[in-house]
Amino acid sequence: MKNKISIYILLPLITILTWNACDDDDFLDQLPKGVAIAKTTSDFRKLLDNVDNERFPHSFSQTSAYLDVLTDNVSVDSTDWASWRFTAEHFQELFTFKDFVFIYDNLRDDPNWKPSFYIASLSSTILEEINKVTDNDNLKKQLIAETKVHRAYGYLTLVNVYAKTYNESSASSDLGVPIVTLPSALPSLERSSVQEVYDFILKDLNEAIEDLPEDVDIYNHRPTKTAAYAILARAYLYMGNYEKAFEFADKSLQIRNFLYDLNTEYSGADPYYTAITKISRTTDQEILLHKTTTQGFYSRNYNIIDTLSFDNIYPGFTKMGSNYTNLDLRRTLWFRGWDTSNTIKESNNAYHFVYYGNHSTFRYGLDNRNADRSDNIPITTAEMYVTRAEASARLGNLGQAISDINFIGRKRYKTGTYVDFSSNNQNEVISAVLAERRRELYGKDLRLFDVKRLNVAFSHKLGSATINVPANDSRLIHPIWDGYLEQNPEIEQNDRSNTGVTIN
Amino acid sequence: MMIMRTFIFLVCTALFSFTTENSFSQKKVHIDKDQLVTVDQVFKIIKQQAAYNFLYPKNLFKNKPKIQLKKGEILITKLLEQSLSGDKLSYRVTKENTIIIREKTSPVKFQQEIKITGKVTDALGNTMPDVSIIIEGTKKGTSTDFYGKYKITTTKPSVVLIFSYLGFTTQKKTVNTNSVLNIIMKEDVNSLDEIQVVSTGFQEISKERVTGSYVTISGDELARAGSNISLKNRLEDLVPGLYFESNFVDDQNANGDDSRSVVIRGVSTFGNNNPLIVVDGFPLDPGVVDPFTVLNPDDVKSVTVLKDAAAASIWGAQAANGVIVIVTKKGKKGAKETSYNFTLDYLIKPKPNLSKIPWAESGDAIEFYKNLILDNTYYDDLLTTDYGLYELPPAIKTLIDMKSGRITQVQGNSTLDMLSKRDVRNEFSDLFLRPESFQRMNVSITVPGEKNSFRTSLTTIVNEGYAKGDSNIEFLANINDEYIPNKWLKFGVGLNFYLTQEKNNGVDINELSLINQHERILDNNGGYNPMIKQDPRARDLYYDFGTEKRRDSVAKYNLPYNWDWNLKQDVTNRDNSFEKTNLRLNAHMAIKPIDPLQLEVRYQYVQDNSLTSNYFNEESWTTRNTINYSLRPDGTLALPTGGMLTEFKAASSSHNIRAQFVFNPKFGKHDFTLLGGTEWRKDESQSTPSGYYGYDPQSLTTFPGIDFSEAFDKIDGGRAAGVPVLPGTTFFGGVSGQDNRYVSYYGNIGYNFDRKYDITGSIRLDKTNLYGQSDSFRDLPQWSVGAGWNITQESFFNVNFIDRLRVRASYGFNGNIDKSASPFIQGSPWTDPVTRLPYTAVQFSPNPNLTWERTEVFNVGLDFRLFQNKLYGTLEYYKKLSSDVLVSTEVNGTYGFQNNRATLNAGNIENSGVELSLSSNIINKKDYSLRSQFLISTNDNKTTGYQAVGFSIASYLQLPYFFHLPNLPVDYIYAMRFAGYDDEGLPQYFYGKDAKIVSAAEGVRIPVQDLDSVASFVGRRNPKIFGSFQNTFRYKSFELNVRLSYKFGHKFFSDYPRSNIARDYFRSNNQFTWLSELITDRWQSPEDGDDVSMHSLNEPVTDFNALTNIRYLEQYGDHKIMDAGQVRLQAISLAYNFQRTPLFKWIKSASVRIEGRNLGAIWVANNKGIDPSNVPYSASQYGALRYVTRFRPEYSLGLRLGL
Repeated sequence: MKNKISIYILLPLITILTWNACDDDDFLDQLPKGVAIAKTTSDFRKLLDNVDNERFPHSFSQTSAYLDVLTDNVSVDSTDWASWRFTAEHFQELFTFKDFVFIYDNLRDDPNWKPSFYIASLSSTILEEINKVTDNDNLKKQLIAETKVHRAYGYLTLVNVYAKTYNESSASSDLGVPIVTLPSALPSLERSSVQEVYDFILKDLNEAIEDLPEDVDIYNHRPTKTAAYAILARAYLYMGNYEKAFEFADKSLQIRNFLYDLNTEYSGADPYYTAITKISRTTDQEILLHKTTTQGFYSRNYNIIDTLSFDNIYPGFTKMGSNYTNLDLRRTLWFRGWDTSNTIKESNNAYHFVYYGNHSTFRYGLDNRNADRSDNIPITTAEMYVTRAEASARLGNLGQAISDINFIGRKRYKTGTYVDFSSNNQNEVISAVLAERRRELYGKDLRLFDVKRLNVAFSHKLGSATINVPANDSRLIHPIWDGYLEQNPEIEQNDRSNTGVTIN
Repeated sequence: MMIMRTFIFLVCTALFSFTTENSFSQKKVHIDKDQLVTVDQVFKIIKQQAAYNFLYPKNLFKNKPKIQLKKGEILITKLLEQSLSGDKLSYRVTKENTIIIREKTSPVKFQQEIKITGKVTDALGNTMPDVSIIIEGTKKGTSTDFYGKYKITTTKPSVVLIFSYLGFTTQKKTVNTNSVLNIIMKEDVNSLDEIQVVSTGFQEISKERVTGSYVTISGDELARAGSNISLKNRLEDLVPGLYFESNFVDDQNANGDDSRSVVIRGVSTFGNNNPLIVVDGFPLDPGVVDPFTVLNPDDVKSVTVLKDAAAASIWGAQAANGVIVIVTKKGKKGAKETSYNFTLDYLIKPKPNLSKIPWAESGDAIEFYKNLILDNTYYDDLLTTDYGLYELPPAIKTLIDMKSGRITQVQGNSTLDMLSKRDVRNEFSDLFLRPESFQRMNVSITVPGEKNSFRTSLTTIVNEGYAKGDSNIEFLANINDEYIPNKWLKFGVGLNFYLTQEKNNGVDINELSLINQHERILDNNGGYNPMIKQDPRARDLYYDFGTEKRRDSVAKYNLPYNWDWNLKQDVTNRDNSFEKTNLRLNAHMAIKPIDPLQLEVRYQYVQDNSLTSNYFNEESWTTRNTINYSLRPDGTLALPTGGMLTEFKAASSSHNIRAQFVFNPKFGKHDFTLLGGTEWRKDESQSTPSGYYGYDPQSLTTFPGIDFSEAFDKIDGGRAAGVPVLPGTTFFGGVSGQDNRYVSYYGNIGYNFDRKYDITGSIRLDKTNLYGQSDSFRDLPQWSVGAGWNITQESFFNVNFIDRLRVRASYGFNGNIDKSASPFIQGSPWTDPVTRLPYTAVQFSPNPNLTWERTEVFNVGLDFRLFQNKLYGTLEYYKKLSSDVLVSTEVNGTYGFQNNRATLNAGNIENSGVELSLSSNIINKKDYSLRSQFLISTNDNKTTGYQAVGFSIASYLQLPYFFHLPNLPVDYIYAMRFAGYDDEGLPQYFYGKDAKIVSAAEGVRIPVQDLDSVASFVGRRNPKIFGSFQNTFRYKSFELNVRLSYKFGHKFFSDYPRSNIARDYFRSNNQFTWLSELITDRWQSPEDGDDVSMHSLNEPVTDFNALTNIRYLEQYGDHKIMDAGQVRLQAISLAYNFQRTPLFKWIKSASVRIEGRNLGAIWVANNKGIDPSNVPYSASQYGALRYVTRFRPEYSLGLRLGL
């Protein structure tokens, strides 16, 4: 009997022990398929390579959406305007500087606020999570640095869209945007000051530089030293710190100063439009950091500039009756006529802007991708040239400024037609530099920041109506979409009531 | 003819066999006259005439009365019976024709011990453990072991053994020698619906000992629940606390019933709310295979629904929503002969009646458009816009042409008159639809054996869908074998095979909503009319142009194919098939090394393969359109001409292994059951799409080398795009798959004292690979405890009319986790099209604070049997408190999550309810009987501690499934407070506490904070009280069964007009299809009052906010709210059960049954007579179409034969 009882106890015990001997951890360590869980540096590498703008409306590349509608770079064709119904209401209300800016139901997000906050939020999460990774310290450092550059770029865009332009005297009291460093905790969303946001941007960039590779390679969506310097230069320029802007633009150009001579890309005699040499996004040597507009918000649909002001921007283009003279190849290569046969009719004085679209006839025709989805708005060497030029001009180094813009002009005009600019007047030089800046950065969704920074008063057209916007109008600052305020009332709305915009 | 011959043959055989019966019983003697004789004289007559000798004690018949004999022939047996009547005498006939007569004697008394052994099984041959065996008149007794075996000894010379088991007829057997006494327990007809063994999937427990909440339905009950093809549907109305939630609102499939999800005891999670389905001891992952499709209800032995904490702590986290344990039929152990069962069902559902869809009549629709176009300015943009690019349906085109002066009023009106007589629904119905039918045939063979038992069954189902061209053949086969070579070893294997072959070439009923009411499909000669495809949701893959423009392009660019669209042509040329095979293999082994210990290992392998194949021939729209559209700017085609093929292959497999011990020691009155084990599971699946151009099904040639990255301008300003990777789809064509793994450890203890008191406990730990490496995240112990008290077993209990009374209670904790949430960054892997780098797109942002959702469950139950088992049932009360409920919540976009969703532990849900099941068999006579079953369940629930979030008031009005509100039921309905129509006929609402009347036309944008100012809680979507009432009346061989179900205490929105009716129609070329009937009853002048069904269209409303408010008010106004109370006639059936007759002895059972199901509501609480379960939402195309496709009545004829 005793024997029997001991067996009773022993057998289950033996069984349990046998089972426990099998190690369930080995079995369970197999990751589920069809889903990627970030655990190693190579997993984080893949997270940071997410710059595709076809599949998802958010990625590290997608940053802004038709910011230029608030500027003098855009006029609108009134016939098209009438056909834009509810889906374009957002655009319409921005363009006409309405008090309330509607965002239609299906969008459910502000196409400027959300993409950059997505980048900022994902960056913060990555910076939090990557601490747990130990497999490759060098790569880990580089990834951390890359992440910080992306986050800084996101905040630099946000603070310039949703806040007043940086002003040293009021920056610490001007409302910036919320800084979210731990999004998963769903923190309260009080807006930080403009100063705090800039400090945060500069801190991220400065910390990043050391661990970044020197120059861009074909994966130009990955931040490098030259890109980080370029963003610093942009930030300091917006802050009005020209010494620093000069320093970093120069640093960036010292690593990469390539500028296409458009004559090598110009293949036809056609004076107004021609097929350009196809290049790939991965081989475009002017790119310092690849960025695009938000998925679905591409200029071809919206940005129409009228011929008159367009001709003023690109004075190398003139039209005499049915004859065209076009010396500025940017005009030839970056734009095409509205008409489907790609010709400009005299009756048709509006143009669609088709810069850098990845269509077979567009600049990145080789890639054959993201057709119709978004525009490429990278930060480029050209921006560094105009930034260095402006900083130099403002600092009184007129020679450097003139040499930079002449360098650009010779590369962009038909060979032998560019007349070198020269002047000893600082204001003249600054004007020339700013004009070159506008030409060079057309369509990169940066004009709004310059309009704000440079106190530009302008008017743009809607059919026969003209919308007049005084310099530094409060409505140049995007309103924060109601949806965000409803969910988190601690977010303070931008005041749009005090405006000087008139329509006549 | 064949049957007739067989019949004759069988009759002859039967007759022939009758003549060869034992001759003694047939022998007769002749009595020449009526006479009174002594017994001795009778024997003399027999002796003389039939030559039998008699042997009996002298004087045995000395004092017997004389016997009256009548003239004529009389059977010897009869004569003997007459002679020996009244005495304790018996006779037997020897081989030597001697009849021995003697007194029936008392058995010889032995003084030594006798030993009786045997085995107890049920009628199906299943061994019955725990059957109680008591020696009559003593307290001595025993019970059967796990294998149904028992042994009992006694010193008495003769004993009566009483075999009893609840729900089975108690049997008494007199025994007086050492013997083997095998007993087959018969189910107590009085306790018809109670099964006495509860299968938890891990073990079988006697119902007398369970402490949790279980409901078991036997295969017989399922059979009585009708001949519904689907096992899922047969469960309806049979289980208290279980209901089918018809979430049709968001459902995009008008054809199926599949969205009816099973809800057990209310919703306790906002995540996946489906119960776990366990088949033969293993959970079936619906992601691998849908358990309900691969099971034939005829093969099911029992279904057990586990409803409380005990369930979840047995089955773990997957079981927080309850468990449905399905046990399939096995061989009959111990039965005497092989049995054959044959069933045949024929089921028919009427053709969907399209004229029942509450769409406006053709003429009314034309009047409506006349009013909007001619008398108003609604479509004036069509006058100026060059609509030649598109095409307008005939009525609109005529009206526009009339208004613009392109045709005269007279011309226009005569066309309109012609069109108003035309309704394409009739043609559609004639061309594409038919009554739906199912034929099901099932054959099963059960081979019994002492040591080995075997069952196999084969089912074929042939379904001809209501759309001509839709058909499907299913084939299910099962083989089960169990072998018990000796008392300590048992093993078995099972195989289930499922095959389906579908042809999906019929019309999709949704296509009716893509065509215009006034069009014709075929012309007078039966040729294809070019038609307009009007799909408001998405244009059909480049379908951009009108017919004329497409015809021009064909001519201009010399395109290879005709470019007209016609529905009939499209349907005729479809070749879509779906094939699926599912194989389930299982094996189990049990060893009993020493008596109370048993070790078991079970293993199951599931393999599932499917192939969806869509072939587009050169006549199909897809082929013609895709190839025509592949014209490059240089005039060449990017695609070859010829057919196209798209295939999706999916394969999945699942391995599942479980090892456990059962230890069952008994000491005196103490009875323990200990169970412990571990379960490992791995589910893998992968699906791969492929597509081919230039495919020829005959030669099997395809055209390789298509450059899918090529992008080019489309002809004539159509949309620019490349060539689809998969022909006929916009799908990108990625491989997808999963590999999910689970490991669990569990333990279970049961203790019984003196058959009166029970204590149970269970614990389980689940782990899975889904959540990465953190143990703290993936481990959750779950537990339960329970107790039971059998009051009637107490000596002090002495209430005459109560036969049985038992109370039980259980309490425990379950957990649940949303598998899409994780504390790690999770994303989808892709390849960047430009850089060719692999990248991860982030789908779910991590939430490091995420914890398990915990549900605390309390259950108390009372089982009773009264009035000699004439009335019996169960009363239960439950309370569930789910805390840290995981909610996929809409959060501020500023946090940057994809889709603005984060999974959070956001609040609590409380559920409570009472369930009563009451059965009776008050009338139970030989010729007639009445059995009734009444089920009633209640459910109360609310969310607490919940933080409300939502974007707009639409979130709460429109999508209460996703947006919850604190202190309200989970299934709340909010409605806007409707305040009648204003002077312009536009709806108004009450705003704020002082009920200020505001017109929707004011266009005030209502922010979400104002929800309670404009809307209020009006009720629940799901019934608070529901149940069924079932009666079976038998008269001789006829049985009539009527099943009613009822639901009360909930609300629904009645029909509403098409939202934004004018806005959508402004400019779109693709919206003119159908109009809701409600438009005929719209507000037209102030006399119309507030009862009209739609606002005025006299003046176009263009303000966006006004339109939005009108839409909310009309769809979600409280004037549209109705009481959803209803009583439904679910099924009525009449069966004839053949009595077993000597003539057809080979037929053990046979029945014929006719049945009608889904016969609709027989009473509704709303005064408009709308069936709340099937509301004709005429404004939604799905709502309107499913109104006529779903809930169609079903009529079936079934034959069952047992041989």
